[in-house]
Amino acid sequence: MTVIDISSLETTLSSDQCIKCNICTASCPVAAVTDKFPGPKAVGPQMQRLRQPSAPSYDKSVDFCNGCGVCSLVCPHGVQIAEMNAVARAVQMDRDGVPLRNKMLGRPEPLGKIGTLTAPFSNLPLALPPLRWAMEKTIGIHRKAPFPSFTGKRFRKWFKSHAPENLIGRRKVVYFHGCSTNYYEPRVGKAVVKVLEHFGCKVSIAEQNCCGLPMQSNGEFDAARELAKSNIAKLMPYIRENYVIVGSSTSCTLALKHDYQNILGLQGRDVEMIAKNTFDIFEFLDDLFTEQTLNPQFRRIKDAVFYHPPCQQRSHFMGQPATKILRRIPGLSFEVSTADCCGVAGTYGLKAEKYQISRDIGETLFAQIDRHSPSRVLCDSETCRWWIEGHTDVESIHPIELIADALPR
Amino acid sequence: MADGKLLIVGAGLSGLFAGILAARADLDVTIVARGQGNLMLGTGTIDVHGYQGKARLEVPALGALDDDHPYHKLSDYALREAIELLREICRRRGNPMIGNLEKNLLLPTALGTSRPTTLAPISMVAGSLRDESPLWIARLNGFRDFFPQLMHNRLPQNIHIVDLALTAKEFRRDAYTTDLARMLDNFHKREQITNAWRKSILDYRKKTGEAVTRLGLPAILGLENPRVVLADVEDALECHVFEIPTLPPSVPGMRLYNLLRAEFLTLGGQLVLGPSVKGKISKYQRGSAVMKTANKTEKAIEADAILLASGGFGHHGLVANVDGSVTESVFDLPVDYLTDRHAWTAESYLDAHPYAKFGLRTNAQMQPINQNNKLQADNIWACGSILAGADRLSEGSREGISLSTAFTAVENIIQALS
Ligand code: SF4
Ligand code: SF4
Repeated sequence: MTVIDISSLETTLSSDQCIKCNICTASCPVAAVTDKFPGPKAVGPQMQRLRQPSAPSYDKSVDFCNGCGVCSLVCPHGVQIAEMNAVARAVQMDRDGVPLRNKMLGRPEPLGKIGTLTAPFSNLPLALPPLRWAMEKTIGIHRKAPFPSFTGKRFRKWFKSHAPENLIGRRKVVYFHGCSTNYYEPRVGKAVVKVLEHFGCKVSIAEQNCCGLPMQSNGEFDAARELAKSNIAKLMPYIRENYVIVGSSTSCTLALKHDYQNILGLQGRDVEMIAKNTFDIFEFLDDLFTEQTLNPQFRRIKDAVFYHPPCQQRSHFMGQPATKILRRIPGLSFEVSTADCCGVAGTYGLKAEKYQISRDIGETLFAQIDRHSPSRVLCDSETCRWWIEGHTDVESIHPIELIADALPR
Repeated sequence: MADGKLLIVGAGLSGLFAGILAARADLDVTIVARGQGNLMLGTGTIDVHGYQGKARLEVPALGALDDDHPYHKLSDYALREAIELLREICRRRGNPMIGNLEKNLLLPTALGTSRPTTLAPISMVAGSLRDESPLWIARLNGFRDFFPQLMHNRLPQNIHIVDLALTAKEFRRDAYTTDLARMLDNFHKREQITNAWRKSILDYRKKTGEAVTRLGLPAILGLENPRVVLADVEDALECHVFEIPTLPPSVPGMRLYNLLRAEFLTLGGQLVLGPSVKGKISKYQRGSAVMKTANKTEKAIEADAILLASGGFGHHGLVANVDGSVTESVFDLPVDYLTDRHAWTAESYLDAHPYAKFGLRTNAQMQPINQNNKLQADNIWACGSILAGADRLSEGSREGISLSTAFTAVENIIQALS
């Protein structure tokens, strides 16, 4: 596998298509709440012209971009602003060094391993105000940022002991569960497995490691590339056996589909094969129902919920397939959020200097939730769920959990 | 459940409105658009027919338009019903629209002209120029994109300028209308701002002895809940308040975009922003389409029907090529245009330009046909600004055409699929 020079990516070259209409800046959630960030047009295409390898320019403000990707989606002229910012940030970190705090946030896996082993004791420090205060002062993780709790039993352990409903399913699926499902929310993984098996899939979980996105967004491109390569090596044997990769975290699946090639610059047949064969769980289900002309029936669930499609999900270019399937549940009513971002953007909102920005971004979404007073908020991304739940006191679940619940008994 | 799949290309007013109508009829709808549509750039009003030549129309005069104008292809109820449906959605989603087809409203523009329109958000109507009483226009200190002096100089009405403090906080960069709107959305900041404004108004009264009866602000009265913001500002200032649309990005346009998007998504419609759509037409006259997805591969978009709402030249629906030809960007459908390149434009920039009428020719079902009236594909329809025969800017007819042609296209699509 080869790695191409990121300064010559299609991404970085797209700056010349900018006509300065400012549509991106009007939609950028960060520029909307702080003037520390001049907005995507300014730090993206405008600044890009000055970022020459021969004349390194210093624009620290790019660190305030939270990577939500909204700018790239709304730009009518194909400028890949968010991708451009990610690359610029990595170049900067490379030069200035990655802070310890970013290194910690970039490594959910080792942290998860220790935490799960020692749960529930490992949850204590995160709940104790004095310790949180010390954490903020020493490493810069904001004391109010909500953290999930470790569960004692990992998802992988559960999977190995569960009796599969379907050993010879028609479709072979390898489930990319990601770190959060394994260490914090095994319930999401259980729901995914239950739904897939119900619809006739044979599910495997393959060896896998963190997708690398946390490292990538904390500026450690080299380390993220190592994780990416390792995942590719572990998943390729399954692809050769005609499995497809299905994930429930829209950010992990986006890394596999898009970031490995377009942000980390990996090239070659394997990374392309992985990208082509990776699907979000709802994208996969929607395709499955169409392909097999299935008309699944669900149990009645009398409930009013609120659905927030996370920003990472929109970059999949697949629409909001969860709504298509939720619509089939009798009795269920839902309202869809028009807030472009919940604020937290992975690990961005946990950082002391950014917490308030993320909080302020979230206000739009929190007010919409308040107006509709749903029983639960559905969201496909784990960090968004924790952030939303932590700030609204409304329970937040993955939409697949509701689907699992609605399967006929 | 759905009994057919519809692909709509474009997320402007016509694309979103068509998407809502089709999703209501239980079609399985996907909208794919290269980026956010024209609503972000518009004024948030619905113009049906405002001008005849240079004259401002009191009542839309559709009968006076050329024979090949899109309005003449419609049933007699399409426009009226489309307007009523939009009005219902806007009311339910907290942005009521005022006006009707019987009489145009006449509203001031930021450039100091008067503009006829059919529907305007409730936050604009107190600025009516049919009302002869004086107007006060706010000059917000530190906000660059609004010019009350220009309005004062150009409008014949009796206009006064009032200085208002912009905000408590200084901006380290230019403040955009969206910044101010978001501050007003927030209850606490709104209170601070309206208190400061109230003080300015009282000072003004003390100094001049004049009581402000109606006050014009740039369009910044909140993105999320304009009705509440308007009521709070009017309460605090004890006068009528109205918005004047500004340079893009437009707050009233974004409101309309947001509420139509929410309506569409809540009906289970799929919205994909980002990729461009490529299509082809088979020899059996069937159109099919593909798009690039996140993994950079081309994916076929399943569709029984395809509706082009991809806009005119400004939005890549139509493309003017260097060789002087004009092409349609998705299917390369035949476009009505003048082959003489010199005949495209008028003498003066502000005149009506012939190129504005270029576009797709359709039959009464809104299906593209060529110059010999031959149908191009059985499953392709078109609506909105891509259609030939209208000069939307000079006529003041953009949104009326978008809504009514979207309505008619969807009506025909539903019939064709059932
Ligand atoms: S939306 Fe695109 S074209 Fe417009 S200013 Fe932003 S980057 Fe430039
Ligand atoms: S990725 Fe998000 S936060 Fe960053 S510039 Fe774009 S819109 Fe703003």
